[in-house]
Amino acid sequence: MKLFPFEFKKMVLSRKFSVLLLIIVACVIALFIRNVAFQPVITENALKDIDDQLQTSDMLLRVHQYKLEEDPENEVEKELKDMLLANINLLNNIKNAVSTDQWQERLIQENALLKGIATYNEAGGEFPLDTSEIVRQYALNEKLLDEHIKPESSTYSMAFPNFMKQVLDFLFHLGAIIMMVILIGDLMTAELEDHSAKFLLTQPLKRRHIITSKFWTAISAYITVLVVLFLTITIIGSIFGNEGTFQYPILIEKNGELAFMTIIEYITFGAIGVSALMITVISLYLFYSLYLKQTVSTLFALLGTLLLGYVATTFISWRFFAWLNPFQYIIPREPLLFQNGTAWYQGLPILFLLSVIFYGLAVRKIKTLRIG
Amino acid sequence: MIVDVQNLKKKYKQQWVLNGVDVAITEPQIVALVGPNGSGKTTLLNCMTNLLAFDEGDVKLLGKKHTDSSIFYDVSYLQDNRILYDHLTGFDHLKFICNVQHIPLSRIKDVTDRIGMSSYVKKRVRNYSLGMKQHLLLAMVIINEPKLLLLDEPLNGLDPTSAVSVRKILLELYKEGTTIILSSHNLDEIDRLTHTVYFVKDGVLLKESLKDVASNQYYVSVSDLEKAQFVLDEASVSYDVTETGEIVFEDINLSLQSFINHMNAHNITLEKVDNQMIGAEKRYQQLFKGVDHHETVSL
Repeated sequence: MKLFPFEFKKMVLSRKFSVLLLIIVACVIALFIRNVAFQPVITENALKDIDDQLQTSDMLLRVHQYKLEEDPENEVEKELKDMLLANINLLNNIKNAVSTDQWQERLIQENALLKGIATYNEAGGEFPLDTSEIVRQYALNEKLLDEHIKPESSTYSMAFPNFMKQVLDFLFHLGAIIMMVILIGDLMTAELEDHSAKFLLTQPLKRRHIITSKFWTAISAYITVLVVLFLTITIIGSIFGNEGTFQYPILIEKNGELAFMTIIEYITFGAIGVSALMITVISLYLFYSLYLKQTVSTLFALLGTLLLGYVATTFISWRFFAWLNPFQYIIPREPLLFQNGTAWYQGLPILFLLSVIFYGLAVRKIKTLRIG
Repeated sequence: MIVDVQNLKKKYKQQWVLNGVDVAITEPQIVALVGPNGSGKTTLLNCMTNLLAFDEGDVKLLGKKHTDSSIFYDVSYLQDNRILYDHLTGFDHLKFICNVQHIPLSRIKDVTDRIGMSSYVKKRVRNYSLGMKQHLLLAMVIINEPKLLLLDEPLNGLDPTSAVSVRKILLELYKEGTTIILSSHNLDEIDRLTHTVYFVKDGVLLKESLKDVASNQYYVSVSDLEKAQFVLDEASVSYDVTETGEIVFEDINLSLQSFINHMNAHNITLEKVDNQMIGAEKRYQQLFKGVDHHETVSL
């Protein structure tokens, strides 16, 4: 434990670490400012979507009228036309509700419309809205109504929990890996390249302690970055954003059916998956760095392993493989949102096992490490 | 036994850099390692401290295997300044060593005062000059009062005043019972520190006592140069004459007293006598005559 404080100090006092934290804070602030600036766009986009649907409905209506002119007794066309008129009526109601605070009324109308479109399509209509999309949107609206939760924009939300999810989605989409590579990219190799590791190797320290302290330094640096990230989101989101709720539902697929996960669950499970992957990445980095002894080749090997592993395992659909696949948390949204015959936590044991193996190999290697 | 190196062999790219090195030091002393660049001085020190693996041989320091990291409680190794962390202060480095080696932190002040670096020890290393870095490296290796001190080019980057103070500290440590092994190119400094020199040549060490090979070179101005030359020629003494008219001879050819006697016998007055010690450098030139100091094995 004597080495760890020294290593950690080396890390946090480095220019790279300060710059990384500043960039993270700046990015979070910039994202929030963007969300604030784009608030009017939410309504504009909603109105545009409705106008597009109205335009589509008008076009379909003309088709039905044309067919009825040719065959006035066509009952199916009559029925389709009536359904479409009802949908157009609903679309106009929704359009009027978009600019108001009556979100419950709007959701009820939206669901009535979705039901109307589904019925219309089942009756032979060709409204360009996929059934699965209809079902998903309908279920989400129902859930929001049941829980009395105001719907939030998925891209420009100012609600604190939704904003937090939005930021963490960047982290869950390779952001954590990029951040970790910047953090630990030269943790060991730079000291091997510039020979500063000789300082540690000529102290009365057990060599395995050097690896252990580097390992914990990397984990501590990762936790520090996460804490700064969460603090920034919390300060900005809670002071300048809307209250929102961490119970906000996120639609997932579970064993072929639609289910829900709350934002707090999504964030917690995602953070656990990503963090488990980061621990393995640290161990793998230490293992590679001691064998390759160069920053560039070590990073190339590390990123190559992750990329190839992810690409290769995407093609394996065997369900049991979820227990053996350490690459699934490279983009953890996938195992979180699609739990068809699998569970989000199934990749954790293999990551833990691999971390122990790579850490053990690194400890073994440093015992015979020589620096000329 | 303080240092026990037996038949140490180290091959690099099919070439023996060290080819059967033996070092045995039983009592505290200052020992110099001398050789051209790439002759294997640093390699030997790195092998002794387990930074490099070697192909054959055995190394024990203070009775312990060199692979036992606990030797570093009593063995310090001054390396080049690349081992320093630029964004930390000198104090951070010293504090870390104190923590690892269970040394009271009060010792930092003692050492920095002794070396004369108290004024900048709390500055970041990136702001240090070459000499200041060398001072810090020295502080880092003496803070634990080692029994064995290995120094790789300890006087690099030091101005003459600092070099004198470092030399003084090394001599004090030696008097306190520390064995010092230093590699250096500065043959003049070696002459001032020690008479025990290991010349590293062709992968082996040639132990020399400079007392055996050292000589004084005298520069003498006389009242009658022509007559003095005649006298010396008559006596078959080897000597030179400088452009300024000084007679130059070494005491291995002629003692100063004999020279004075010769001059007195012929009523020649000595106007000025200077002398210069020539030891390591002379032996170095004898051993490495024709060796290109820069065209050597890269390690």
